Amino acid sequence: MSAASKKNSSIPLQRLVLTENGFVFNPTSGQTFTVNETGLLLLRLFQEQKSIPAMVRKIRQLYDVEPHRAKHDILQFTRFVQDTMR
Amino acid sequence: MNKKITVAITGMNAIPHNPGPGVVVARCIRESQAFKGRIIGLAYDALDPGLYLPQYCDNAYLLPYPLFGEHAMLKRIQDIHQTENIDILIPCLDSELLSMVRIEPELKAIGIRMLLPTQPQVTLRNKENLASLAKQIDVQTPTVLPITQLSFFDACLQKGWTYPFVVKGLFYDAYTVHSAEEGKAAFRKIAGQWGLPILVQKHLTGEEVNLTAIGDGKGRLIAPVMMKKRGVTEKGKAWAGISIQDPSLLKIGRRFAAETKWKGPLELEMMCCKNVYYLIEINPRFPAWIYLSVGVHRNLPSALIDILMERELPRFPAMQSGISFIRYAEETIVPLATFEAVAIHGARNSLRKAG
Repeated sequence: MSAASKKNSSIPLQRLVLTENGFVFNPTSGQTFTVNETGLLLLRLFQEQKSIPAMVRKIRQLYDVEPHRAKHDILQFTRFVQDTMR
Repeated sequence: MNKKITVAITGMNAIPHNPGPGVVVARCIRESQAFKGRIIGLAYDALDPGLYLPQYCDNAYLLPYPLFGEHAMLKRIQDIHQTENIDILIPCLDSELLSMVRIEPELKAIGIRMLLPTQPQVTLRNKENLASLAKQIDVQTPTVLPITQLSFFDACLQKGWTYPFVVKGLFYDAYTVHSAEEGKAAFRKIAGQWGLPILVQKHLTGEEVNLTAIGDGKGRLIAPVMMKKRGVTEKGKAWAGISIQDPSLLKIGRRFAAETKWKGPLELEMMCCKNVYYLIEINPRFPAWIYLSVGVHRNLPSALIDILMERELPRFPAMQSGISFIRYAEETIVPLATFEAVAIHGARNSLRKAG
C-alpha cells in the first residue's frame, strides 16, 4: 500500500465545525451530520481536549447517570464520531 | 483598467444530466469584476443551450465536429476570428483538446492565446495510460482492461471480473453494470457512439472527491479548489457538492502538477475508499462544477485570463470549506429566427450589444 495515497484517518476533532443547532461539518471530507444536545456538549469537550474522567464528571453534573454508564456512552460516542468521519 | 478583450469558449452543451463546462466557464468570467470584454460561445450542435444565452455569450457560433479534422476546425476558428477578433480561446471538451493542441501554433500566429497541456501531457492522462501515471504520482488506481468483444461479459467471471463493474468509453460515458445483459447493453451504447475499445474498470465503493486548478507548466498548481460530490446523476455527474479542505487530496494534486509540469486547467477525479485514494480520471479542462470556484473566491476561469493576458494574479484567499453548490436546470426561449440563424448560418450574432 502506498503511504502517499493513504488518507490520515486520525482527523483532529478540533477541525470539526459545530453550530449551536448541533449541525456538524467535517471540512476534510465534506461530511455533515447532526448530533443532539449531549452529543454537541461531548464534541465541545473533545475539542477542549478534556480527559474522559473530566467528561464523565461534566455529564454527571447534568444527568443522573452512573459513572461507568457515562464512561461507556462517551466511548461509544467517540467511536461513532470516528467511524462517521472516515 | 484592464483592456477589453474577446474570449471564445467551447463546450456550450449544458444539457441537464451531463453538462459541458462551457456555459459555466462563461458565467464565471462574466461575473468576474476584473473582466471587461466580450464572450463568444462555440458549440457543435444547434441545440446546445449555451448558443442561446446572451447573458453569458455575446455572440455564438457552431464549430465542425472534431471528427471532421483539425483543418476544418482551424478554418472555422479563423473565419470566426475575422469577425470577432478573438484574444483568448478556452477549450472545454476532452474530445477536441488534442486538435486544439495541434492547431495552437496557427492560432497563436493570428493572436489567439490558449493555455494548454502539451500533446504528451494530454496522452499521459488518457484512460488507457492512467495506471502508469498513477504509479508515477504514487496513488492507487482501479484495474482497467480494454475490451473489444461482447463475449467478455459472459466469460468475465472466469477472468476474475465479478459484477458489478464499470463499463466506460475512451472519451466519455460510464455505466455501472450488474449482469452480462447490462454489460452488453452498455458496450453497444458506448461503442455505437464513441467506438472501440471499451474499457472495463473495477467497481469501487467510497466517496468521490475532486480537485480543480490551473497548472502553470512549471510544476505548480494555481488556486486549487476541492469538492466532495454530495448528489450525482445516473451518469455519476455531480449535481450537488461541497467545498472541502483535504490535505491528502491537495498533496496528490501538487504531486501531479510537479511530476507532469501540467499546463492549463485540470480536474482530478479521485475516489476515497477506506481512507485510500484511487485515481479515477484526469480531465484536461475545467469541470462543469467550476462555478464553485467563484463560490470560494478563487475564480479559476478569470485567473486563466489573467495568466494568458500576462497580468498579475489576484491574491487568492485561503481555501474555504463548507460552500455547497446545487445544480438546477432551466429553459431558455429561442425565437424561430434565432434558431434558424444558428441552424442555417452557424451563428447567433448581436442579441446583446458588445460590452
